[in-house]
Amino acid sequence: MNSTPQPRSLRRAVLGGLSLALGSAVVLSGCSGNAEPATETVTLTMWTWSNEAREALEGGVLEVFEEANPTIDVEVLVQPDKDYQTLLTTGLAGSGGPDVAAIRSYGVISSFAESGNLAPLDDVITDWSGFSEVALQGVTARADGLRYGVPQGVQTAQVYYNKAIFADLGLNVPTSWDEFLEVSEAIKASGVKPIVIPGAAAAQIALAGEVIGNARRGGNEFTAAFVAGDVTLTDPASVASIQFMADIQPYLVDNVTSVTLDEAVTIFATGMAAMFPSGTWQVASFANLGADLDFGTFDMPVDKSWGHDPVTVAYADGGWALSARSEHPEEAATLLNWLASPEFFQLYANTMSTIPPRDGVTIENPHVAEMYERYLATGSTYLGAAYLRYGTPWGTDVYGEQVQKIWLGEQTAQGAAEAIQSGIEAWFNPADFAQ
Amino acid sequence: MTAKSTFDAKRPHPVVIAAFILPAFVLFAVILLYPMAAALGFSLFEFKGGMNLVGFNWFQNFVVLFTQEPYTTQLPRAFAHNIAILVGTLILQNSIGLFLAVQLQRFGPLRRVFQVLYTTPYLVSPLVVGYLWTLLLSPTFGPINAALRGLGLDALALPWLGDPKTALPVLILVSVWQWIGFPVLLYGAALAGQSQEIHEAASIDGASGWKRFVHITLPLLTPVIGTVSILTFIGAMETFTLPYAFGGATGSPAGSTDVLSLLFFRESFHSGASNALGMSSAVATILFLFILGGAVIARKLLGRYEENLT
Repeated sequence: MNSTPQPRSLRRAVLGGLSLALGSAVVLSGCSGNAEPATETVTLTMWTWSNEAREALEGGVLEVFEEANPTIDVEVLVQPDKDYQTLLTTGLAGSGGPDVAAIRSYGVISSFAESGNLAPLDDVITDWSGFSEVALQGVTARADGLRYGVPQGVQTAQVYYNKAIFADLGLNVPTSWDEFLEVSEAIKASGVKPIVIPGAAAAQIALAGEVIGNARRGGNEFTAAFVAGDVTLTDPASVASIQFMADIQPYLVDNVTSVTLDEAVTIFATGMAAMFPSGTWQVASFANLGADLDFGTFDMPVDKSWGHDPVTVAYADGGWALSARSEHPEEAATLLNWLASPEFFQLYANTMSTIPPRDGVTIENPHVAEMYERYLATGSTYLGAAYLRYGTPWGTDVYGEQVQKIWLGEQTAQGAAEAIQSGIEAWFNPADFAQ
Repeated sequence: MTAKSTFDAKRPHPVVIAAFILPAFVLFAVILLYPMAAALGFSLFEFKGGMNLVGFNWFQNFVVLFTQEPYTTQLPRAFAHNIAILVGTLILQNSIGLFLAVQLQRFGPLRRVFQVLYTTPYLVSPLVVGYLWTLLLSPTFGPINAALRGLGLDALALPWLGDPKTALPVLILVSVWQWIGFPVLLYGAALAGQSQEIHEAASIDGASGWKRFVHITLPLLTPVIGTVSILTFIGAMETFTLPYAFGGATGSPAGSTDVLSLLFFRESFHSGASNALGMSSAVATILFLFILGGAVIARKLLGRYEENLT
């Protein structure tokens, strides 16, 4: 995957060789001359788990920063995703670690902040105003309410639909929950499976469940009440949102509990299923598959009786953190402020096809641009990712397991809600989030 | 020549012995002893975010593990699955492995070819094996169910890994499929080492093939059966990669393939809990003590049985 040549490192090597030659020339001529050493260059090390992020950063994005800041040289190191947290724990605690590191949002960044090895960024970043609330929640430590990262990106989750299938059957994007069921019924009657969900993977079920049920549960208002300790997941609105997962079962692909994420992508991309609730990253997956797929996206429509508008489910997708042991905190601060700027996101988000966590960016990919627009207008936090992953069991894991039981005929929505609530009560305490 | 010098000639000076042992011991200590001791130690402490130590809290992590949800549900469930995997693989690996090894004895030169064939899956990472079988067993795209349907056996074209009733048995079968080459090799070597004279003598005395197998071959194989069983025990209790490849970190579907190592994985790398290190070390310690205890007891019992044989 990462076997593409790195023109930048090659050029750097050539430049290095040149400067070495020049350097020796200076030394040779220096006997008589007054060779003043140029301003010292500081090298900052950035860690990330993502090859794609490094390719984007080194493939032109950081060049813009380095041109504006000639005394700062930024090296990007990719550490294997599998061991990333372990390596970062060790790296941040001792020497040889990064100055700036990508860290996953919510529970992970909170845990690193608690260890005292990250520097809070509240005063380091001069302007936070453009960032959205959803994105900032993702880099805020639970314990002290301080921000420990510059948001890297946002994932939204929505329903992907196959435009060709909809057009063949003369269907329109549903505008109410009842219409959604009618559309599903019509697709089913035509012999195509209406909906695919990666039912073998707990996290994917939880994400799909959030797309389908977030507005029914009450969106951000419910989340705020839940974190304040005023409601629990056994609240009737929450149970009703889980019941939807049972209600749509007749429209799901066969043997849904054995469908992996890869299979779900293939099933949707080949037109075997017409709708697929999933995250922003599928835009890139579908493009990589090279499938001749004409797709669109929509947010799950609502029923008037719920008293809530449709939402775009969103969650923060990591942030750039500052090591408390960085030897060049000033230069790192310069870099982090640039990583927070619209200029950076204009370059980065368009290279990566991700949704920027702040306003003021023009997105080129039409699908991502649509999601970005909806996110800015109606973004609603993915409750599970934001608040149910600070202890074992993860609320999203129990949700996935319980919905699998519903699909296997072993559980009811009420029972599932009770199991999820009692699962997280092992560690969830609203007081921990009081800020 | 004095007695002492003879002694010296046979056994080098302790310093020399130490110098020869030291490199291996240092490696052993750094790679094995230290992490083990560290995990045992960590299980007695409370942490706050990563390696940030709060303090010594005796056996509190273990008390939590045995008295609080979700552990009171997940620990016994995972343990039961490990035992099921152990029983399944123990029976299948020993019986099929021995059967194949005995059959291969008669194959002559072709034996090598089959030994290599049986051992091949053993050389592939369980993660790869897991993903391969996930593809093969897929109800939508997999060739296995397509073949079953082609043969008119539609009733057998099940969602193998999507149904809690079949997921664990399939996991056991694939695990046996992968590791079968190992007992085949061990039994093959042991069979080849058995003296033909005893078999010939028994033949002359009129013992049938089956009688010779039960009364000569099998008793002589006891030490190897013991070795295979203990290694199977350790493998079954530690199994992680195949369940992870099949059901992810949660033991999908609905926790039906959850095992102790997955519980450890969720606790340590997939938790976000402040005291993840302390709790996951407690899980690891219990797993370690159980495997150590089980292996020691099994070894003792086998030793006694082998003594009775001679």
